Amino acid sequence: MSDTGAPGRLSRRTLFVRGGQGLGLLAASGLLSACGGGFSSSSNGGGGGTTLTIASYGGDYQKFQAKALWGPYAAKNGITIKEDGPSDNAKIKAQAESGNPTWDIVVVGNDFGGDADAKWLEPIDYSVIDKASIIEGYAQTYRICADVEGTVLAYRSDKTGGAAPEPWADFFDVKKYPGKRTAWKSVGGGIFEMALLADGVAPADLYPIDVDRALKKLATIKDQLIWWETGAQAQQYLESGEAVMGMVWIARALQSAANAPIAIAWDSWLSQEAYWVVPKGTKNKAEAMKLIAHMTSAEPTAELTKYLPYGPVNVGAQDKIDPSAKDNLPTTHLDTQIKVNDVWWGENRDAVNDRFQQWLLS
Amino acid sequence: MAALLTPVASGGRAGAAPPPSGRPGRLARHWPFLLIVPALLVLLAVFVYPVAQTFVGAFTIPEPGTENFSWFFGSPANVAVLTRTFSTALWATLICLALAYPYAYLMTVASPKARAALLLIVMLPFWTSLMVRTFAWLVLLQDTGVVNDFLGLFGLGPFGLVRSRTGVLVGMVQILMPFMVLPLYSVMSGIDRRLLTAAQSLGARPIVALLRVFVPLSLPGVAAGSTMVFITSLGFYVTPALLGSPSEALISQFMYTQVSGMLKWGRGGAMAVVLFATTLLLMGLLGLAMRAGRRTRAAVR
Repeated sequence: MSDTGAPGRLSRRTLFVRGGQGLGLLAASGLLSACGGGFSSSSNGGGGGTTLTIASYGGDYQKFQAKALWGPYAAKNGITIKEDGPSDNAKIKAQAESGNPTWDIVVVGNDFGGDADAKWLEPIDYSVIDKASIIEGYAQTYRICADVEGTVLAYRSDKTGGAAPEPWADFFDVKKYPGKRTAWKSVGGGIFEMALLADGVAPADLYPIDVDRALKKLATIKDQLIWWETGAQAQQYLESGEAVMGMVWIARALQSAANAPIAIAWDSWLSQEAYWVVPKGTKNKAEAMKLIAHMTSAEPTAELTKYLPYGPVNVGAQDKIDPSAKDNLPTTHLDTQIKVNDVWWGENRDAVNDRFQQWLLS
Repeated sequence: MAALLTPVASGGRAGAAPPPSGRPGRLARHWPFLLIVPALLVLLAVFVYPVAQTFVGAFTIPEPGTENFSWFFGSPANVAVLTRTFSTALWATLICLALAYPYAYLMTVASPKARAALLLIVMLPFWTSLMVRTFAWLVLLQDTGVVNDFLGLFGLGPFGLVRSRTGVLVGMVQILMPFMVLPLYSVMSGIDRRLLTAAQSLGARPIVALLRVFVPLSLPGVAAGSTMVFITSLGFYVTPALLGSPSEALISQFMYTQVSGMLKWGRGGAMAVVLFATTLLLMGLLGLAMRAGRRTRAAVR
């Protein structure tokens, strides 16, 4: 199995258009800019030592990770870091199955890296990484948290009359706050938890998720929901005023808040994390573990908060954070965090996603 | 611009080499075929191989059998996606044809300068990135967009122009227009206009001459353009993803969800097979119908 089926959204479209040209109808028109597929670049080509390949999410996120996490380490230890991306669960599986993964370290979201995915991953080596220094629950068998993110309710304060909608009940109350809502079209991204919380389920009773009840609740605002699939879309819907509120990633909400009257309701937010994993069979396991140990230590994780509003996982990093940034870090609001249960999702995602996708189509 | 104005044959004629004179050796006679080898190799590697693998996957992932197909046909929602994909493609084709036919006709009768301008108008959006165009439509059509704001001045709307089939069709038609206009123009510009004069001299009114002489002669262009637009429509991903809604999803979006979101390679493959087979079937039927039509016309003559 290779990644032949992997959907290069843009590139496939562009190719198709080009295929059309090839029929000779549009022969003379040289058009359409080259499409951006994956990206890859080498950095810090120092020393003749090990080369580690890291695949992250790309964009600013990866740029700042390079700056805060692996850049200085590579320079100091004479290893070469090759950057690739964007991270892709299907590619991790394919690479591990091929027996010779090209990625040594990968950033994944909540939906990958649990015990259910053991056959594609190397266990994290806690003889190299100090488990006690990591916030409880974030150091797991096959993955270790890279940063604590969050999905929050962000709203247009100009359209709510200055009032702060209460998460998540008011998300479903289109009488109180008329207007479209934007939500993440990802089954395990918190949409089910959000619906159940709004429907009166206590946070402690969320799991197992009552799928029927959640879908029923979602159906009450189905025609008012605008789904987003990329963070940029979420921002666009909020900033243009197309949506009056949305469930969005904290970093995107803050970026939008700089451009439009957007506020964040921290009273109830859904956990979301990025995790480091090591694909099974990598030739550089020992070096990868050493780098992960560095990237989850106090200094680098605190350094990252200078650029990104994501909470550091290292206990020792908490007092190294700039106080002005602290208010917006998910780790500052852990008391109102609704912990998404990755284990439950690991076991039930496929079945629930089938239902969710069918529900979306109906 | 000059190159653009040259009508390009819609068949494969352009590639055929003239027969060499004298009695050259085998190699000399066949060497032009070597020219297609690089293209063939590239196609084999980046098209035939992955497509074949996808098709094989449809029957083998996760286990050999037809499980993926029974999944697909087992849910009315899935079948609805397939029908919606074809009906959306059909609508896009019909709208394109209705808009492009008079446009292409105008191009054939316009002065060279006007023709260049008309061509430019149709090609300009084509030279713009697909994403930019689609987002531009989003900006124009969304609830708080230009169109709805303008209508709002008259107390109308807001209308659900995006996240609906309207939005998808608007976006698709704009993108696909060149695929319809150019083949139509290339065929129409090859029609001998003296035939129209001849028909009129035999007593046909201008409109009758147009309908009974010009239109039938332009049918190859209609067929080429419609086929291009229809088939291209079936694979649309970005436009329906941005301008449509999940409950209006087309099959390529659904494939993306299954493969990338759920890692169901087999299901993605099965959908590809179903789409491919249905397309071939429809095209085959269309081809047969057209051949039968030609035979009937020939017999009448």
